[in-house]
This record gives sequence, structure tokens and C-alpha cells, in this order.
Amino acid sequence: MSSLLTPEKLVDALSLGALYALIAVGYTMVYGIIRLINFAHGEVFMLGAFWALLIVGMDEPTGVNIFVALVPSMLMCAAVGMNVDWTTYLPLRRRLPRSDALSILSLGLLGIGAIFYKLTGDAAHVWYSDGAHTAIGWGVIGLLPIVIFALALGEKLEWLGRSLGRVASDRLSALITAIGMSLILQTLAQLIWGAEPRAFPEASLPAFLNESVFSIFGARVAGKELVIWVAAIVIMVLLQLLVTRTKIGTAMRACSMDQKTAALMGISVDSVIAFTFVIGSAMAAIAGVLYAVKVGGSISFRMGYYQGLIAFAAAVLGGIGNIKGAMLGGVLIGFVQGFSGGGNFSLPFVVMILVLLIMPRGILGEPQATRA
Amino acid sequence: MSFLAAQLRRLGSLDDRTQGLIALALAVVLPFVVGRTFLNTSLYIGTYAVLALGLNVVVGFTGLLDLGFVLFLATGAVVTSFLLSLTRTPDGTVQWAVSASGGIEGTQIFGFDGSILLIILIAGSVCALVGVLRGLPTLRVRGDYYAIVTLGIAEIAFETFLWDENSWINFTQFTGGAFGIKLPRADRPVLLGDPLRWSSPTVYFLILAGVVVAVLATHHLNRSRVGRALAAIRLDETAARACGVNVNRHKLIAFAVSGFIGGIGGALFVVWKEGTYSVKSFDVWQSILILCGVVLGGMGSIRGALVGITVLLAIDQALRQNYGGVTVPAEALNLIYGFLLIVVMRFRPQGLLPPVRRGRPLTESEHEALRTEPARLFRLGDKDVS
Amino acid sequence: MFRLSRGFRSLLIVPALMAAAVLPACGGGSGGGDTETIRIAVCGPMTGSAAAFGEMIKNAAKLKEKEINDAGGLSVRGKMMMVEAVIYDDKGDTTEATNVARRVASDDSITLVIGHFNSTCSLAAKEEYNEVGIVEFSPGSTNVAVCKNGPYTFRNLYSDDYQGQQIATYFAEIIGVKTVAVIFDNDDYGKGLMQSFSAKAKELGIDVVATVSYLRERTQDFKPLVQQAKDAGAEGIFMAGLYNEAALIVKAARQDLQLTIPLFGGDGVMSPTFIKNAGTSAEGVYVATPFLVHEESGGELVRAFVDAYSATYGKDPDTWAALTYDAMGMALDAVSKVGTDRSAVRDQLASAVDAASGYTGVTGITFFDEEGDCFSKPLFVTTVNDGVFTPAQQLSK
Repeated sequence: MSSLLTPEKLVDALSLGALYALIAVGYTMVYGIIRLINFAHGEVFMLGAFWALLIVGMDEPTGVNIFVALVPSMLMCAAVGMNVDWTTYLPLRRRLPRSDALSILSLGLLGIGAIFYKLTGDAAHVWYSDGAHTAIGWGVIGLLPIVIFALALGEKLEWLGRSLGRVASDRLSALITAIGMSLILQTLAQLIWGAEPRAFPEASLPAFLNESVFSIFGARVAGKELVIWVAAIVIMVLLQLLVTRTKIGTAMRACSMDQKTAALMGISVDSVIAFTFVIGSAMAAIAGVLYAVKVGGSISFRMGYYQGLIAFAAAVLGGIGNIKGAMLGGVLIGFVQGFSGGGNFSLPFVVMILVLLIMPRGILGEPQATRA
Repeated sequence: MSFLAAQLRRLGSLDDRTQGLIALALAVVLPFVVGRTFLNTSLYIGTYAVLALGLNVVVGFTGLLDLGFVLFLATGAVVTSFLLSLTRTPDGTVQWAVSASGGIEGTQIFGFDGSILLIILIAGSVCALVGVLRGLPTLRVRGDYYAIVTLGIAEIAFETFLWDENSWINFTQFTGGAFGIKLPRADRPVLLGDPLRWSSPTVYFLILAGVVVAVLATHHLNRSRVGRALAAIRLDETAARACGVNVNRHKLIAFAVSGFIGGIGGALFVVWKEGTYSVKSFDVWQSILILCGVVLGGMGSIRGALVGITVLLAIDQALRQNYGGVTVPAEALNLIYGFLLIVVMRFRPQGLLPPVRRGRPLTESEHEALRTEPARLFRLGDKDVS
Repeated sequence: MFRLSRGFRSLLIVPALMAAAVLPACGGGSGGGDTETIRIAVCGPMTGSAAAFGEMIKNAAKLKEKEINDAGGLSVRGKMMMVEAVIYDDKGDTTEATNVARRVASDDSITLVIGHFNSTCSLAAKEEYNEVGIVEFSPGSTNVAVCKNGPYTFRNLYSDDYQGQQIATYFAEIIGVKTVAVIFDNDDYGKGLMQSFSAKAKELGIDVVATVSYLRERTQDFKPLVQQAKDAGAEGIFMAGLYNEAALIVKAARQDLQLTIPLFGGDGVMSPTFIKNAGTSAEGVYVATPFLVHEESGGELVRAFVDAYSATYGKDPDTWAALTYDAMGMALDAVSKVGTDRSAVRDQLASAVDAASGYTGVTGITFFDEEGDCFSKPLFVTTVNDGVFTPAQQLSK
């Protein structure tokens, strides 16, 4: 068996750490402001890879460079992130007709977008050859949420309405909503792009990504590893500058401290939260693309499921809600996984639990709400 | 119509015990009037209802978010299958059937009539122990940290159960790994002279008994001194400690009870499935499914947990039916599931059947005060502690 | 609108939902009474981690259904009947497989089952099918135990045991290496393959220097795993897993670690997606398969199937699609001879015991031994050449 510490493992650990840090920051930023585990974040990570794949060519390579595809992918993911917030979390925070309308609009757009894509999509994705069955099946799916929304809005059914006000399970209901959103995004991806795992076509990957750039203690460092390191460092520095030096960053910090006071000071809390989702999702998109480049593919609707969990563990390890903590946690988890020789999914959790035993709030965590 | 409505309303105003008895009576009649598909669905729901009731003790009564409840399902199932397959071979050694090949010469140690009841108790006790052991290190962590720690432990257990001969300890020899431990048909447990085949009434009533025991146990726990202590911990751990509640001890009691019921659920899972399980099934999704049932029904409410898990699984199974040639696309089921969770949480964040608590519900400002200044708990009295 | 009290709702919701679950079961029973349609349950992982296989299985089954119905139906002892492939999703999970099996077995309108795909699911469902007496015809479960002690269980491909042994022999005789590393998926398929391979390899004097396991979906970074194989000094790597992971392993080996040693994949790797995902790294990789969709190996049947499939679905079929297509064909063949009686269909299938009584389909001739196992299709070794699977040197018989 190979020894525990080898330079090859160091290279791998650094890359994994950088990627996990990028995802973990998205979890932690959202948590820091609205105290919500955004389970759908892993799915945004997956969508990031898919958008880029669409641009560089899913079936036939279009010849577009992967780095060119990165920008639209980030924009699309930012939009999805904002949509996730508006659709699911905003209505839980603010009980206003406006947020209801926004929520229904967003849900509708999501559904219409998916259907439009299918209708105009290429013949490669024929799901069901039998038209009538499909129509009825989809009718059921389409009508269910619409009927429930309509009933609830009309307050025809009292017990579906909102007579009871806020209750103690608010935070948990937000969590369940997040799980629901994660399921929806995952399933939509499967319905639209199929279940088959895919990879970026070689035509879209610049040659230097797989060439040795230099070596550390004899271990080969490929171009893609270097790209990941540089990208992670640059993004982290930019993020830190954004949070500490800009007006919106100050607003974000204010909101994470006390939303009510922040609102009194003239900060549009909802916009700040939406902005947080945008930033986190754009970073997840970068991580998704770079991750697929690093491992060589595996772009499927399940891509974000377990990687999201690990990144979440990283965020908790560093102290959830703390951006620097998430970076640290990501790198640490990456090291644990890298040095354990890959293939190991439980070891990051072992380390996380051990750390939490000594530091119950993570390495850099702040005091948090005590109730679940 | 108004006559019917009046009758229905009268039914609703009955007390817990009468309602429970009516529900029980319905459940007893059920297997004799329905078809096989539906019977299987009821068994499936019953098994998961036991699990949901177990989870409800920690999530609903104690207010700790547990994302790793599948640990008890897995442990209970593994222990049950392992014990059932223990065989004394003719040359005097004790062996157990692992892997799909199964079938060892010899006599089953737990082959006597009614052994399954003993095994269910053992599985429950093992899981109670696991619950306490898992609880000990997590006493200090709170809120979302507790959630991720439980999730992590379940994941670690999942991988450990798959350790094979290349790892430090060969765990697959106990768990059967991806194949599980498969019982030969002849070795099925016997209860009251009846080999436990899923379609026999014995299995139905065994699982129903499990549900009833879990309901009664959690009901009495909630009403007891311990239950009130758990409610105090749920509302504010620090305040509860200040009031003299031994927080750690009560948390451990909750973990043990929850684990015990979860273990029973795991054992019933094996009975329902006739021993065919795969360790691969016990992943995060199972924990989330059970949790969704509890939250959907209303955390802390026993009938809520029952209704929540029933709604989730019945909708799932109903949509998987074949309606005279029309099927809902299987891929789209998860979409419906997701929408359902979001919609219910949007309009009924307290769940379908939240626990009935004495006194008026807290107003928004009182609730806010509870969050920000726990000290006001005293002035508000114990309204919320039922 | 009257207001229902909270307590009542608990009583109301449960039976209402349960009624929704039970009603179609009654309806299905009576509706199935009409004898104009032959209904075949196709069970596989339509969702979950193995959904890509479910897609292939579903497509192939629906293709066969369409072909027969377009031709006016199937002649069952002189009477024309329509065919319907009813798709059931087992999520690739044993729990749901149990549910599906019990539902299908209880539905009298269903004549037989094509499925399941995952060996664990086939094994979990087998109990029910054999107890009730309905044919379970798997086009994908290769675990050794699947057909044991199950008179109603059949499959139309070889078992892992045979495959692992043949691959080990191939390593020894044709590739000629002394040390091999196995990277395997820690599930029923990969582990079964790894065990039979390792046992045979030892027998043939090959040193298995490393056995590295991974968990599908959870493990996505394969560089460290291949690194372990490299550090152990392997002269060849055997990949006992599915195509997506194999593509990642191949990329990690060829691109990241620049290994040029021979790589060999089990039949789970046999998929056009493997080549598509692995790109140029796939060149020269050996892949085992029960048959090959290729000009040289197949006749008109294969060509026609590939053309029909790609015309309908816009992509090429893989091994599993072909096996499902054949399983459907063979099952319908049996039905056309003996009608829709479940046990008659079983006897008809079991009567295929040699090449003469077997069914000739896309994947070759299918016939069974007394346990329902299929040994009529020898392992066929292919290698990737210019982005297509081409026949490699075969083992001498």
C-alpha cells in the first residue's frame, strides 16, 4: 500500500479542497443571512456544469471553449439561484400577496421553461412514444400544484389558508422546502437532459488543461489543477473584498447580524438576500464546471447530491455562517479526502464530527440559534 | 349534506381514545376487505409509520433535527436478519447465512415459534443502545450542527456496513453488504404456527401491533414528566437547564426511546420484506423521507406523524399505480413530491395536523419574544407545554 | 363550507389516500379481463442512480411494442392481439423492487415480467414472482444467485462468475500480464465480478496487487484510486463497474497519470456513452460484452434493430437495450405459441434448451439451462478503435 503522504495526494487534495471551498461558501453565505440550510445548492452546482455543457455542445461539440461557456453558465446559475429564493424561501419569510405572486410566477416560469424546452427540443429526447398516456400523465402533474395554489389563494379551503400565523416549526419548514426544491431541480434536470452521465467534449477543453505545467516534489501538476487553484484563490480574494469593502457587502453583513435593524437602516433585505443567492450560485457554477473538468465528466442529474453534502459538511466544519470558515473547512475536507486515497465518503464526516466534539460550533463558528 | 357534516363534526369532537379506537377498528377490518396490492402498501406504510413515530420523539418532542434516522432502520434490519439466520450446524458450530447463496445445514437457533417477537425486542434494545451511544458525543452540539452530525454518523455507518474483507474489519460478514442477508424460504420466522409470509394476516397484525405499541409508548412518554422535560428542552435548552431539568439525561432518554422504536421499525422492515434488503438502500434519502413525513404531518404530533407518512407513501404508491394503461411518468414522481413538500410547507408550515396544545396559540410578538428573550418563557407560563 | 375539526381529518385523509391507492388495483383487475391486449411488465430503475439503464430498457421495450402493434399485433394461436409494455420503476432499490413485484404479481392482467435490472432488485423481487408463479425474465442481472432456486426466473445473459473467469483468462493468455489491479464498484455487480476474477486470476498465476473499491455516485474523483493501482505496480487494470465510472477511470489513467497499461472493463462498460465520455482516452480499452452491435458481428437483425432504435430515439442502443429487446421478443414468441397463461409461458420459455429450440435475436441465440441461466452467449471481447467498439482477438474455445 502506498504511504499516507505523497506529493500526488497533495496535488489532488489541494484541488478538491479548492472546489469544496467554492461550494461551501455558497452554503455558508445563505446560512449566515437567513439561517437556512439551502439543500438546493448542490443542484445549482450540478446545473452549472449542465449549462456549460449545453453551450460547448451536449451531443455534437460546438467548438466553444469551456472558459467562454463559463460566463453564461454563471449567469444562468445566478438566475436559478435567485429563482430558488423567490420561489421557495421568500414566501416563507414574507407573507405578502406580492411574494405569493412572485412565487407563482417563478414556479410557472420554471415549469413553462421545462415544457418549452421539451417541445422545441431535438428529437433525441423522445420520452414516450405513446402520446395519450403522456398527455394524461403530464396533465396530472401540471394540474396538481396549480389546483392547490388556486384553492389556497382563493382561501376556499380554510385549512389550506394562512389562518394560523407563524409557528415554531418555521425553520424546519424552510428546510423541508429546501429539500423539496432540491428534488424538483434534480428531477427537472433528469427530465430535460436524461439520466445518462455526460462529459465535456474534448474539443472544448484547451490542450494545456491536461499537460504538465510544473511539478511539486516530483508530482505532476496538470493545467487543470493550476486553473482550479488560481480560480479558487482569485474568487476567494474577490469575495472577501466584496464582503468587506463594498456597500452591498456591508449590507450583507448587516443583514446577517440583525435583519430588522438592517431594514430600519434602509437596507432592502430581500434584495440583499437575493444578491447572496446570486453570488453563491455563480460560485457554485464555477465549481461545477471545474469539478467536471477535473474528474473528467460525470455530469448527471445526481452530480450535486453527494458532493453537495460533503461541501455542506465542510461549511459546518468551518463554522456555518462564516465565509472564512467555509473556505477553511473546504480545504480541510479536501485534504482529508485527498490524503485518504479517494473513494472514501465517510472520512470527511468523521473528521467533521471529531472537530465538532471539540468545537461544537465549528472552527470559526459564531453563536447561533439553539432551537432546531 | 348538513346531516353528514354534523355527524362528521361529532366524530371529530370525540376524544383521543375514542378516535384511536375507531381508527384501530378500521385498521383491523382493513386486510379482510382489500386486495393484495393495497395490503402490501399498508404494510409498507405501517413499517414506516413506526419509524416516523420513533423519529418524532427526537424531532417533535425534543426539538432536535435528526437527519440520520436511517441508522436505526439499518441497524434494526441487520440485527433481525442476522439473528434469524443464526444456525447451529450438525458439528456444533454456530454459523449465519450471508450472501445470496444462503442455506446452511443445521437447525435455526431462532427457529422456534414466536422467536420473531424476541428478535424484535433485541433489535429494539440494540438500537436503543446505538441511540444512546450516538447521543453521547452529540449532547454538546445544537441545532443545525446536531442535524449534520447525525447525518454524518448515518453516512459513516452506511459505509462501514459495506466494509469487506479488504478493510480492517469485515463488516459485510455480519450485514451481508449490498446483498443483505437473505433467508432461505424454509427459514422464515414462524408466529402462532404461521410462517411469516407478507400476505398472511399474521404479518399485518404484527406490524399493526408495532404501530399501536409505538403510538401508546410515545403518547405516554409525551404525557409523562419526561415528556414535559423534553418539551422544555425543545422550547429553550438553556431555560430548561436553569429550571432544573437534567437536560443531558432527558436527551439520552429521548435518544434511547427513539432508537428503540426505530429498531422495532427496522425489524418490521425485515418482516415486511421477507428478509430481502440491501445495505445500499439505507442512504440519506430514507432519513429525509421519514423526516418529511413527520414534518408534513406536524412535528410533535403523534397523529400528525401517522398521517404525514401515510400521505407521503400513499401518494407515492398511488401515483406508481397503473390506471388502466395510464401511468404517470416515473421520473416525474419526484417532481410531484417536491411540489407537494413546497406547497404544504408554504401554506401549512405547522404541518397537516399540528399537536393540539392547551391555551391559545402564541401571537407573533410573543413568539418573537420567546426567541429573543427566553426569560419571558416564565411569564408566558407553560401554555405551550402539553 | 363546513369546517372539519382537526381530529376528524386524521380519520378522513388516511382512508381517502388509501382508497386512491387501492381503486386502480380493482380497476386493473377487471380491466385486464379483456383479452385483446397482452400486457408485459417492464421493471427497471427509471429513476435514481441507475436511471440511465432504465431509460435504455424502457426505450427498447417500447420499441418492440411499437413494432409489433404497427404490424397489426401479435398472432396468438391464430388471434391477433395488441401488446402493451407497462413500465414500472423500481428506483434500483430493493424496497421499491419489493413493492413493484407484489403489485405486478397481484395484477392478473400482466402475463410476465421483463426485469429487473439490478441484481439486488431481481433477487428481492424473485421471492414474490416465484411464490405467485409469474416469469421474471431479467435482461441485466448478472449475479450468480439470480437464477438459483427460482423456476420462474430467467435471464438472457451470462453470470458474473463466468464473466470474471473469462476476463482473468483473457488477461493471462492474450494480454499476458503478471500483475493486475482491480477497481470495483462496491455493489452486487462489481463485487461479484471482482471475486470471481480474483479467484481465477490466482489460479492462473496472476498476482492481484490491489483491489480498490468505490461507491457509485459518491466517488467521482478517480485519480487517487488509479494512483493506488499504479503505486502497487499493476501491469493491467480491470474495471468491474459501470460505464460512467469506467470513463472516469480511463481518463484518470490515460490523462492524469499517463499510464499506458492495458485497461479492461466488464460488460457494464459496454455503452456508446463510455466512448463518448472518455473521448480519445478510450482508445485501446478492452471491454467484455455478451454481444456487439457491429457490422462484422451481427447480421441483418442487428442492423435493423440499431436503425430502428436510433431513428426513434436519436441515439444508438447499448447492450442492455439489445438484451431487453431480445427478452421482449423471446417472451412474446412464447406468448404467441401458448397464450397468456402465466405458467404455460414459463414452461414454453423453459423448453428452450438448445440452439434449435432457442430464440434467435439481436444478441444471438438464447436458450437456458435447467435453472434458467443462459450460457448460450460466450463472452465477446471488444476493443475501442477510432471511437467505435471493434472485435478484438477472442479466447480460443
